[in-house]
Amino acid sequence: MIPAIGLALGILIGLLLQPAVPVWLQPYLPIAVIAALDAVFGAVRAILDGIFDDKVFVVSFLSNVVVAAFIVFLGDKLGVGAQLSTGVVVVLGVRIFSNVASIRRHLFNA
Amino acid sequence: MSLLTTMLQRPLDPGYAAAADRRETAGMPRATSLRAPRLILAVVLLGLMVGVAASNLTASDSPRAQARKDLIAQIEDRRTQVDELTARATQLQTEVADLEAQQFGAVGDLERSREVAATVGAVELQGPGFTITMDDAPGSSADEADPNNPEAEQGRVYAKDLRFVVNALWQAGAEAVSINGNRLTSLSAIRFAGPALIVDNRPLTRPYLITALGDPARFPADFADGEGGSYLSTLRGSFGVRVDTKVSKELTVPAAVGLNLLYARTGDTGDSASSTATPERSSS
Repeated sequence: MIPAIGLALGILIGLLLQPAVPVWLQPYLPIAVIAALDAVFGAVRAILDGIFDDKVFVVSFLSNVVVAAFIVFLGDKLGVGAQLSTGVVVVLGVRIFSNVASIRRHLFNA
Repeated sequence: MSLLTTMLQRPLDPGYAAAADRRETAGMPRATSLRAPRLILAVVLLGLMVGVAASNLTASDSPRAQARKDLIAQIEDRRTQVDELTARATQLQTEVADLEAQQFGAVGDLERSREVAATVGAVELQGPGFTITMDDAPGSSADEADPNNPEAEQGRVYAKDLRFVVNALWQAGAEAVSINGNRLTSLSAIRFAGPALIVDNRPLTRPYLITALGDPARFPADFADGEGGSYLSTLRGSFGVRVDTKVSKELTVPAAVGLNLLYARTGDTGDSASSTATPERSSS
């Protein structure tokens, strides 16, 4: 419950303050959000599986974001930023979907 | 396919299972508490990221749209400026003409001055003549045409078409010609910049309306029978360019704006008629 409240609090702060993101950081924002979502769904699934570990969650969240941003950065430098972004989105998207599928199995037995 | 299978079958970070196993062997519960401070911190950070991303990415004006808007505003600004300056120039030209009339009223050269001014395009003219309206073929104009289909551009009115038609008009005996209200003079040029047509440094917008004054009995017929007429019918028949000609008894051709000569001079000094009537009442 507390993490959910924290999440809502963070979203609220972000929406209310609307801090200006520097231009050089903007291309990484969407991909970082996808990576973060992947970490969140992984965590929820781990909680439902009964094997949640906060350290693993924090590390996987941070490393997901950093690696995703790095891939996009590298892609931009190599001139294939769009393709690499698509690749990252596809991989993380598949993970998110199967995590959500297993969360669904836990919650609804369906 | 093993990459896809691993991706689909074990999407959960194996680190969770490993950590759980480790804790179990150490005699602790498999799952940790959800109240660890670093967890809360990470979650707030995550929410912040999502919120910031949401507010930034839904911001209505991307920099590109903003720049576009700025440019459009600039264009409109400049256009109003041009219109204002044009109006002012026309007004000043009328003033000059009036002053000339006062000056020459006594000397008696007014008639000649008027005539020359009319010929070079310094005054507005009325008379019989006809108009030609030309427009791009349906579906071929710059904003409609499929950029991947070079065929579509063939139905466009090009600068060379206007040039040809105007030359044919002069040839058929036109005495004054204007395109979209821009009087053609001895200083005029019909050019293009990309898909835009430009007359005397002013961009034209479709449709293109050419007004020509001339002998009502012969001029329209001469034009239609000559090169101009056949050129227009080719444009219409082969490329679908919309062409519409209309003979009229009373047409107006506006005065030209900016008849300024900077370097060319009349050779003589004594003949008052030629030195006063030339359009060099400019910068100096």
